[in-house]
Amino acid sequence: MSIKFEKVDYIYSPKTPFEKKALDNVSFELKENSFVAIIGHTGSGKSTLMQHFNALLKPSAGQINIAGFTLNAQTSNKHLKKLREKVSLVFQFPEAQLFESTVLKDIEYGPKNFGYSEQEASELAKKWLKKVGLPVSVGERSPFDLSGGQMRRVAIAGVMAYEPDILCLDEPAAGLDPHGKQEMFNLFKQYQKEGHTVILVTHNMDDVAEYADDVLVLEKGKLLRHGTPGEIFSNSEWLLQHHLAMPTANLFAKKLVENNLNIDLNPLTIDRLANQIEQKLVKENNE
Amino acid sequence: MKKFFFKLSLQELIFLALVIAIKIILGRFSFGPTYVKVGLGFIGSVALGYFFGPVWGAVGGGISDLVSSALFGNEGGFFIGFTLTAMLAPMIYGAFFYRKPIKIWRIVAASLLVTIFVNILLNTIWLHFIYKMSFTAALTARLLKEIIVPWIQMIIIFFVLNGLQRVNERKEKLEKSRM
Repeated sequence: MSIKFEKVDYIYSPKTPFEKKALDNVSFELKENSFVAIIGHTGSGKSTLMQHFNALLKPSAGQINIAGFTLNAQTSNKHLKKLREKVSLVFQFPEAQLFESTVLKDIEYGPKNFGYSEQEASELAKKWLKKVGLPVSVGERSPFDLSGGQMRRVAIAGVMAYEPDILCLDEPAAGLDPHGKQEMFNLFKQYQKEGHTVILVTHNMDDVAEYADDVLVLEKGKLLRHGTPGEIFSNSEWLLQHHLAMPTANLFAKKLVENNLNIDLNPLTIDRLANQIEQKLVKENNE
Repeated sequence: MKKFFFKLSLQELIFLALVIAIKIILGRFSFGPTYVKVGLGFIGSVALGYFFGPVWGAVGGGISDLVSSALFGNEGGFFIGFTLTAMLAPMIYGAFFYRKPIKIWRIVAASLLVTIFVNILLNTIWLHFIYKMSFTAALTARLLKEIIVPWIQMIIIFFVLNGLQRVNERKEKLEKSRM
């Protein structure tokens, strides 16, 4: 079962003076169990697209097939709970949604909402508290006594605790320290490898190059391109034209090529770039 | 007197403005079937009274009414009487909840007082003034709703106060750590 968008339009405040078309004839198909990145400028429709994945917004026109559900303009708000158990969103700065008196209760809230028993919810909460890298002792504290990074982890644990098939993340690492960011991304990558789909909305091209295996590029509500990171980042002129950044490794590779070191222009990750430079040097030494 | 009317620090003033804004936004929402719509503005009044006491709560209530009518307009035009009633509710909630432990009887008493004095008596008098409706006619039209709604409000107020209490504990902790 794949995620399929067919000619999806979305218009905010239709038939008013504030009418704005945020998605314009968007069609694509995403494979299950892939790590998808959605990139594009501020205001390109990334967040609007993301809110379609679990029907917080319903398409003004077109159709969406996701997790066995078919969504279109006529879809009613009833019966969407099952969809939201399967498709979860982590909003930007999710720590703002913490509210319970203890950390564990806050993580349990989602599972309980989807019908898990007290005991199941409590076990899941403990398991995910550990998974997001927090000590057990934090569990009984108020979420408001934690640091920003810890709060972020608690909020993400709350969304992942009921193990949704599809996890959508909007800038999940914004404002985290480098180590914490690495940990969070490893968690998401691991989650994907265990057989879930992860969809990531981001501005950071290094993360896209490092983790994604499928990329959607949006511009002004239109789907500009859909391909692997290798395909998307292969053409630096095209990226420049559409005001998209290049991964750091590509930028550096470009500088090297300009200085007559003959290597691949599209290494994507620092590791691969280092490998290529190493090979090049070994070869030159041997000659 | 000090207990009811304290000097606001800049921080508290900004918090007051925030709660006023919250009250205005809550006032735009209501739930329930059409014949007993429960508006959520009273939650804002409870928060004003609970955090700021009767005096500043009343000030906040008045300002929220003025700002709300400036932004969204009032049904049937602006009338100063409704500003007065918007001041009275947080004042009553403040007298019952401000710096006091949460007790069921306080919630029941405060809600009943607000319902009887503010919603039933005063607001009916204002309608009588504005539309020259006969007092009993205006009253009977509103009575059914005002008999049902306060009980729903009491339950909500109980949970709201428990939430607000957690905010308050945190606020006090922060203030202490600053001293």
